[in-house]
Amino acid sequence: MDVLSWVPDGVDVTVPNVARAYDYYLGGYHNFAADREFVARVEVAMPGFSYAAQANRAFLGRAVRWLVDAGVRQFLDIGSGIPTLGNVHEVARQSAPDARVVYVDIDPVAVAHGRMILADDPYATSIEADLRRPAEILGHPEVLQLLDFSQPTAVLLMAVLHFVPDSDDPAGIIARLRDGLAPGSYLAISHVTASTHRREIEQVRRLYQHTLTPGLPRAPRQVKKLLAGLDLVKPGLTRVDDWLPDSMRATRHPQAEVMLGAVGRTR
Amino acid sequence: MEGAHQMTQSRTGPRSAGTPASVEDGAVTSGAVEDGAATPGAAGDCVADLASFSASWERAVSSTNFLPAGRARSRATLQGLAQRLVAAVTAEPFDASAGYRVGADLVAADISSPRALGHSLTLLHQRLLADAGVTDERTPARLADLCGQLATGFTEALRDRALTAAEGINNAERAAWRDKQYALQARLQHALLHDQLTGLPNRSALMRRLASLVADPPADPPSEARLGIVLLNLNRFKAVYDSLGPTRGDQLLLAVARRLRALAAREGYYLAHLGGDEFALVAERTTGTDDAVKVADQVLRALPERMSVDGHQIPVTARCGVVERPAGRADPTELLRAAHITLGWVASDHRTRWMVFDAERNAAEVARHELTAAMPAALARGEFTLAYQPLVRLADRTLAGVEALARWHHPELGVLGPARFISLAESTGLIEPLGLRLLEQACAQAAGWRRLGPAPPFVSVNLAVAQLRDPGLPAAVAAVLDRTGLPPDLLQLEVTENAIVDTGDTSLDVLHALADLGVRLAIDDFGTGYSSLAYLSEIPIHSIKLAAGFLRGLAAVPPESVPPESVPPESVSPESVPSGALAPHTLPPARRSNDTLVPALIDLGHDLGLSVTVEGIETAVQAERLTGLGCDLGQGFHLGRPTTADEITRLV
Ligand SMILES: C[S@@+](CC[C@H](N)C(=O)[O-])C[C@H]1O[C@@H](n2cnc3c(N)ncnc32)[C@H](O)[C@@H]1O
Repeated sequence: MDVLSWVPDGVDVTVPNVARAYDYYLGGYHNFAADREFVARVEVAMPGFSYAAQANRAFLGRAVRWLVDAGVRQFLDIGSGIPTLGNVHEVARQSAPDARVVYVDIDPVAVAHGRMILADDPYATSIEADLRRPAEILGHPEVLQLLDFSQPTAVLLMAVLHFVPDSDDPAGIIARLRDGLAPGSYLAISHVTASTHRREIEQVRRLYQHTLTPGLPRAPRQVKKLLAGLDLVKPGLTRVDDWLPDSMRATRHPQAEVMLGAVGRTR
Repeated sequence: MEGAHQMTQSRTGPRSAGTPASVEDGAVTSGAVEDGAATPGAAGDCVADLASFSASWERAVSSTNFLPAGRARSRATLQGLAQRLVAAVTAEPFDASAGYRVGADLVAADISSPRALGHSLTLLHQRLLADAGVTDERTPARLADLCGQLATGFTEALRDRALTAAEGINNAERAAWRDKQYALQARLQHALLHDQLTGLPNRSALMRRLASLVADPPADPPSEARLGIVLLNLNRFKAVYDSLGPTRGDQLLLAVARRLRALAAREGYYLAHLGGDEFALVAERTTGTDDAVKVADQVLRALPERMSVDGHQIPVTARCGVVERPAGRADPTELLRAAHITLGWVASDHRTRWMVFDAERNAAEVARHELTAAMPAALARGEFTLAYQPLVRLADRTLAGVEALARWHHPELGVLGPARFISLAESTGLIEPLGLRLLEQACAQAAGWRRLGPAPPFVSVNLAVAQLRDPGLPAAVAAVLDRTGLPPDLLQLEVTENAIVDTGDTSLDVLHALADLGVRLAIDDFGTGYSSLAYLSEIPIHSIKLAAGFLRGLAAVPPESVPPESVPPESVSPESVPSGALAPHTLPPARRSNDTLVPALIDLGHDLGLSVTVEGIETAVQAERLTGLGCDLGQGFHLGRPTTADEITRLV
């Protein structure tokens, strides 16, 4: 950013923002008119896209519960979005009240909101950082203050990797994160794919082109490659609503096929 | 069991105050009836039915509502809420507000979409009483009441949630803006106070630092605090930079900055980069000039003679200007200016690499500067005039000519001689108009004298180097002669031999052109410049003037007539140096005196066909001696002080 660019990135509410749009997909109220109009256009491009977002959010909840059951008490949620329905620290603390969570997002508004909500929470915070600079995240003073990387930690990269183009070396980023974690840690990801709904996703991609964080779908094979060096827990990489579904399954909307999810364990 | 994962309410999910956090209460999965309320009818048997009701309820809402808690937990929640409604419908006394709380709790459990409300009301109305096996005829009306309350509770909770969320995101947006602006401000602030290349504090930062040191001197007592500032730059930096190119030039500066940074860190100095190759170090708590000089010395030693840039060895030498003062009395701007001035002195003096600020020298320079600045206006006001000093023919002591000497009638400083201002005028270029103005005055005056007698004096006017460089000078002189009507042979122009040497070919051409006008040319201060005599044969001069210095030590009578015993002891002893065997270049010092030189110079002038004038004649003895040596003209206090034109007129 140039010293003279007085309108800081991400703080212009007249431009749709993916964090706030995502909140609206989930039925939240943390959004502005521009975000809602954006979602309306996405829904025209791909009717029911919101179901994919909702399925993703539900996967996040199940994954966190699974991780807590696996003994994880530290979470680094990168690309966490606006604190909205079913936040990681809430879900985790349902069964592990001592869980610690650091939220990371590139969107200053999402982070500011997170910090306000978490102001009185000594074991959770929110910081502004860029996934594309993992060293800055792992070395961030607030991260180091809350998380002990000698203990198992779960890094969540939910619905954020598709905002990182190949030119930014997402595999390298994941490797850097992975290598910063103790053995027995986890990396959980979800990712947009276009194995089905190819045309619709292409349209959606074009719409995201106009946000500060353009995205791109990846083929399941490419997503798998990103997870090299991790042992995927069962059932491996699946569409998110097929990943260890609750005994009472939510409605399986076809649009949710565009979201893939997996949880991997570090060696 | 799913029920083990209960929702906690740590999220700031809005709830209207006073609404009980009854999700936990409701999250029972079987059998329990809340609040121990007596339930008329067979509440106990209807649990299974309510389970089926709540399953339908959950299906109805989950089809249209994203349930972050998951279906199982949501179903349990709904079952609890259904049980509370059944309890309420049969409770005595009847209290419809239970419906309000159920509505609010739906929202709290994230079952909060508008459609969830619609589906819920429809389902409750259609099935709750039947599924619960409640048959009392009052219950449909009660259920209607409860549903109304439920809708109200739901809507109010939802409105609260929406408003809180909207407010939250707005606040977040403002907070983000504020943070960004602070960050930007901090960056701007940093950028404003630091050099872009080296990241060192810049001039503004240095000024701040000095200001704070001056305002709050770091010593005990503060009145005794002193501080030193060393300003440095690199010799020939511009040339080095140009030849290295900007990239490597910057690397050189970075290398310099690195070393200075190390020095400053080690010794506790404040280091600033004022831009380009200029750096400053501030030392606090100095005890005197020596401490500041020590800093300069450290600086010069910290920078090696050669710096490696990109594998190239670049010769660099630094120079320092040093200022050291009591801190309390210093003014930051003045301090830095003093350091700059001092650095300027070092730059123009090749013998030293550092200097300490000298207030007297500075005062003199300031005065010179002020004089220089005042000169154009003074010229316009006519403050420059001429005095005339007689040039006397020694043979008969008659007035042969006058030398016109510039005078500045300064309104405050009185009358100033040429030594005070001619070089200043030369430095600004004012010499050309001033010179012409004075030339015109002199010629007009001389033309006036010409009308008074048959042998009018010529007037001799000094030419400055800058004038000689001007190819237009001969034409200008011709014009002056023309205007004033002075015959060219009554004008003599004096030039120094340095002027001829310094100006080269142009001045030779100019001199020839002047000679062609018929003007007399004289070499002023002959034999004092650093020149060869070769030019004498090349330029068309008429006379030479020997400076007063040649009169020093000139004896009253020729040396041969001095008795041997009167030779001063320091003069050569005849035994050691047989006089007859001396080659000229081994002439012993005493014999190389003016007693030898002056007659030789006069003879030389005459041999070249030049008239010889000696200046600075102050005594009758000197005049006699020079007359005896055949010198043509004399000038000096003994023969006549510089005086007004009127005085000269009387002499003519
Ligand atoms: C679709 S939301 C996902 C929210 C949450 N992780 C989830 O899955 O429910 C994506 C978030 O990633 C953030 N994001 C995009 N690019 C990012 C980057 N390079 N570094 C950090 N966050 C990023 C966006 O600001 C947005 O909040």
